[in-house]
Amino acid sequence: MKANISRVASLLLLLMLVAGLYVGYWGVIVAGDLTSNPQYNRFRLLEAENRDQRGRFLDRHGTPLVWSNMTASGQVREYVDSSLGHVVGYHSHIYGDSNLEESLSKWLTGSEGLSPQYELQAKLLAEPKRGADVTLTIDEQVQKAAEQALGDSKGAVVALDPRTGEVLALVSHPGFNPATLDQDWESLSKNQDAPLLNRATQGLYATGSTFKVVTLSALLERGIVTNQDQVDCPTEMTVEGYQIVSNNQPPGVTRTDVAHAFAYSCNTAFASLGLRLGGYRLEQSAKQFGFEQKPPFDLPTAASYVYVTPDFLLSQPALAATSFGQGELQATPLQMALVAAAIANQGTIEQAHLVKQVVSAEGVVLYQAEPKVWLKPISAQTAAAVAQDMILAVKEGWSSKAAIEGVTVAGKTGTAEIGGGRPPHAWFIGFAPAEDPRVVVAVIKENGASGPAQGAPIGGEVLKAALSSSE
Amino acid sequence: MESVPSLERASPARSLRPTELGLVSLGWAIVFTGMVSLIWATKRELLGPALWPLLVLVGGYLSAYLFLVWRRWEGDEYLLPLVNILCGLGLIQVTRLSPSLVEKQAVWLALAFLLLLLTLAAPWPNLALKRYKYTAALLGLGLVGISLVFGTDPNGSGARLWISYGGINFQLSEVMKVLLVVFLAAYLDDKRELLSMGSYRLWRFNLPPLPYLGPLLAMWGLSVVVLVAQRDLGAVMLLFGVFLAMLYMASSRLLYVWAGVGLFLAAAYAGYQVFSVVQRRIDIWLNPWADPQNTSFQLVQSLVAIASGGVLGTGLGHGYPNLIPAAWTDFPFAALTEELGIMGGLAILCLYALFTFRGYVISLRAPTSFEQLLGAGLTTTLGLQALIIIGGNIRLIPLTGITLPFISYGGSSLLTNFVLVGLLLRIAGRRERTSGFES
Repeated sequence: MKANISRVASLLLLLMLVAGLYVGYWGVIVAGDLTSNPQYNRFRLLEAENRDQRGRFLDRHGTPLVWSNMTASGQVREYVDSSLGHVVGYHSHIYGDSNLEESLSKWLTGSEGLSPQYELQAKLLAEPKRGADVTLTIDEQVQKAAEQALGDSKGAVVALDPRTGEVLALVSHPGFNPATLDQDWESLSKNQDAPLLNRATQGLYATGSTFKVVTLSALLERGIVTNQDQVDCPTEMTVEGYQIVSNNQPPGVTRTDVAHAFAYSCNTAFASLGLRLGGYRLEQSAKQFGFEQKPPFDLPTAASYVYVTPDFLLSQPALAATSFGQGELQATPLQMALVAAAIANQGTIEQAHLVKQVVSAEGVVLYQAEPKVWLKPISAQTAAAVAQDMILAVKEGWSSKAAIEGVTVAGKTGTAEIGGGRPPHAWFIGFAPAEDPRVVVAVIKENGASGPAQGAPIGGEVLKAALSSSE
Repeated sequence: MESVPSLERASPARSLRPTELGLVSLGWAIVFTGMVSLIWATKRELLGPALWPLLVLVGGYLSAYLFLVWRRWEGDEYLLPLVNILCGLGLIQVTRLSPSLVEKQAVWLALAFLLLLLTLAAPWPNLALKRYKYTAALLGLGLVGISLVFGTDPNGSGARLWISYGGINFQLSEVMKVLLVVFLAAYLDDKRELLSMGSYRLWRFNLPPLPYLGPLLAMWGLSVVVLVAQRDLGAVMLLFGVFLAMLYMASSRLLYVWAGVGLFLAAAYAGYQVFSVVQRRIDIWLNPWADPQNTSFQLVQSLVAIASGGVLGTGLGHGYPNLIPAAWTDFPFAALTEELGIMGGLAILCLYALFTFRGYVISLRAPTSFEQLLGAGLTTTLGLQALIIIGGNIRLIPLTGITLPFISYGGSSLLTNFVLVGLLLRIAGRRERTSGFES
């Protein structure tokens, strides 16, 4: 009987060993799969979230934009301004995180970037950990000005510093209020106006005449024309049966120099200049400005396109139309701001960014944005020449409503025909002060009917706010 | 004085049980540290209500210790330290998961220590138990009868494991398990020879005379009745597992074991077909991922708890074991493993393994075959019970409603397990006397 007892004992102890190995299986081997699957681990993640204080978003001067309040029922994210949804994204227990709230979440939650000493101290004192604070390049004053200037209209505004690529304001209308996302989700996702789409970085719009900046840069860079060259600017012209109308120039003017053709946005002049340039070279230049690729940025971006139909520019009418800004052109406001930035920054586009710095609760700098050249589409001379024409456009051409007293502003408006009997989109791109540009702006007002009347004033407002804030 | 031989000690020198005292102190140090760090990490206002239960643990042990020293008791010095630390972990997990229950648990613990003293002090020899085997059997049957008629399900788990009286719910299978072991040890000890030899052949097998198999088949029938009455696979697994183990230990016949396993599986299959509770639990076990938000939520949360603890655990008070519903009775192992880590979980398993090991050693050294069988049966009961519920927590076997000995919240479990420990200590103590003096 003693032998039998020993055998039963061995069996039982062996089974305990098996149980021990199985504990190890769950705790080590498949642990990652289990804990990372929100279907299994949602409540645990939620609890963890509520325990530690999520980090804040600050504007470039240190003003808090977004912060978390610890309340009895959990953490509540507070926003200084509901328009920030498209900048920082949302942070929802139901719909997850988006934009910066998502991409920076490991630092915001404090799950990374804290020293073992800090973690230990928080644990020992049973105090909540504090996530890192994110300093944005956004200037709250400029953001507010852009928000107000656009008003209730659909559209977008991007303002950035061409010298560094720092984005000062980023507005997309209609927006959403990240604080009430959970309640609003149903209506937001059904809304035909797509309030969850970030129009500034992902909205693709016909460019209208703002694209003339690219065409002009391509012509000047290749020495095909100079600003002083005279060009014909008829009120009507026909390319292979395609009729082009130009009624932008002052009455009676049918021949002028390149600078004035640009300032008055003469379509016929740019059509014939584009035909001289050729479709291949026009597309090459646009690509050098960043078309046909997604601009690197801290938020998701869309690529802008010169045309969609294959071999579109091989057709002469299509090339003519594209040259003055119609055709199949599609660009995001961010892309057009970067085009203006090339002109403002002596032909060099600095990589756009939104996150300036991430600093942990212990004061350790976890991330520091460094200015980085993205593209060099044109020479400094070409940039200066285009800038001259843009100054002219504001001074005496169609962009005059962007003018600011005492400051030289450079700009170009656009009125993008979109067909279907709907009013055209109003565009403006520009920068100031023209002698030493500190801020670039791109504005799109959907169905604004007229770039000069509706786009330029918004641009002027934003430029003014940015200049006064940076002084 | 012939009537109290087991409690008399021959050697005139009084032992202070130094090994036990040292080990218990170590256990207290661990438990106190754990409790303090838990209170520190969670609710500091709990300091008072959570600390006095630990004093019950200390006081309870010290009274048992003084009793043993006073009676010049020699014998095992390992069981009580193991019981101590397991009970301490139990108090910690109840404080962690359901603070309002910890004072109640402390009262149960005090009563359990009292019962341990009574078990140790009972003035009859161990062999006297043998005479009451049919009393034990009848009591057990009576309890089954009671649970058939009055069984309740206060937790809504679907298994009718409890009887209620005056607001106190008592889990019958806990009491039944000790009665069963006592009966089986006595019965099998008497019929050992007959059962192991066999008197006639059936096909290739030698079988004992049918009348002797009768009570054993009745035992199987009893398990089926328990299954029907309580709809709990865990109790059946435990009772039947202990039954088979003891039958094998007494008879050396593996045939009985295989036949028993076959009968058990048949009964389990029938239970699966008939009872939705059993069916649900087995389905959850086979595929918990099918419906992790509803039916298998509890088990999946248990596995996630273990997974999120990692090797060293989150630390007491830093995890989220409360996300496992009813963790303090059904999932204390998973809850503790989350915060103490795989290391903590394995340590708990080791504590049960050590307890089991010591229990079998005591049995092997016992002077009479009855005490050997009794000790081995009691040890198997405790070890198997721990395995069944831990196995259920980690999805090794289907989850059942039995308790994790000494750790789970629950009075019936605590009381019976302390009687079990008392009986084991008595068996160990008797060896010292006989080997030292009588022989």
